[in-house]
Amino acid sequence: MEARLRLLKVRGQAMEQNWSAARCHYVVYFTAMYCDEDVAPQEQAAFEALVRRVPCIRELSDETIENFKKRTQWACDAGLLDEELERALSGLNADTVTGLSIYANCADIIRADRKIRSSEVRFMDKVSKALGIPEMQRALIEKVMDAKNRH
Amino acid sequence: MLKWFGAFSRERAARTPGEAIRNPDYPVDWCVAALLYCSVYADNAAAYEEELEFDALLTRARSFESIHPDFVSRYIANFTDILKDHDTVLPLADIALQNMPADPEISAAVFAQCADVMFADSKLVENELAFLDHLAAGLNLPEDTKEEILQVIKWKHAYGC
Repeated sequence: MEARLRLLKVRGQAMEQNWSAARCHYVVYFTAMYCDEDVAPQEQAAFEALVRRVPCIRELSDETIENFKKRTQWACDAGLLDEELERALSGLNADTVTGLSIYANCADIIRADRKIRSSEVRFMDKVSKALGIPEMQRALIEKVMDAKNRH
Repeated sequence: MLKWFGAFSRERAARTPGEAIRNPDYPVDWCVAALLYCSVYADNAAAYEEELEFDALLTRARSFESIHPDFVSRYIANFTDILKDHDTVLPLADIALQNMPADPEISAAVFAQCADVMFADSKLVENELAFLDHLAAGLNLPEDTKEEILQVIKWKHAYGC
C-alpha cells in the first residue's frame, strides 16, 4: 500500500511538469530498445550511440542524461513504460521532419538484433499513429531499415 | 581528391564486384569494415558523430558477429597503414570494393550503413557525396535502391530538435 502511494505520488509530480524535447526523444528511443523486454546488446549499442548524437540530448550534461536514464528505468521497472511513452509522444509536438526522423531511428533500433517481435510491431504502430507518419513513408523507412540491418 | 573519381570510376565501370578476382586476404568483414572506415574519413575529417556510428556498427552489424574484437583493431591498423601515403580514402575503398561479394542484399546493407555513418553529423560535403556515388557504382547498386536508401537516411538524421 505504501509503495503504491509512493508510486502515485511520484507519478503525480512527474505529470505536473512539461517534459523537454530531449526527454521525450530519450523516452521514445529507450522504449524502442526495451519494448520486447529483452535488450539485445546490438539494440543497446544502437540506442547508446543514438542518444549521444541527437542534438537536443547531446547538449545536456552527463548528469541530466543519467537522470533521464534513472527515471526511465524506474518507470520501466514499475511497469509504467507505456504511460511514459504516451506522455513522450504527446509532448513531442512533432512536425514532419521530426516525426520521420524519430520513426526511422526507432525502426533502426528495433531491427538491430535482426528480430522483430509482436510487441515491437505494436510499438511501431503506436509511434507511427502518434507522429502521423504517412503509410508510404512508413513502408519506405521499414524497407530501408530492413536492408540496412540484414548484414 | 575529386580528380581521382573520374579515372577510378571508368576503371570500375569495366567490371562488376562479382567479376573481380577476390583475394582471400581480404574477407568480407574486412571489406565492410574498410568501407565503413572510408565513410568516416571520406571528407578527410572524422566527426564525433561519425565515429560514434562507426563504433556502434562494428559492435552490432552482422558482418562482425563472428570475429573477435581484436581483429577489428588489427583491421583498423591495417587501414591506417594502407592509407598512410594517400590523401584520399579511395585506395582502401578500391581494395574493399574489388573483394566484396556480388550479393545485392549485402551491397544494399553496406551502402545503407556507410550512408548512415556519413550522414551522422547531419552534414554531407562534396567529397562525401562523390564517395557515395563511387560506392554505389562499386557495389553495383541500382539507382532506385540508392535513392531510396539516401532518402531514408536523410530523414533519419534530420532529428528536428
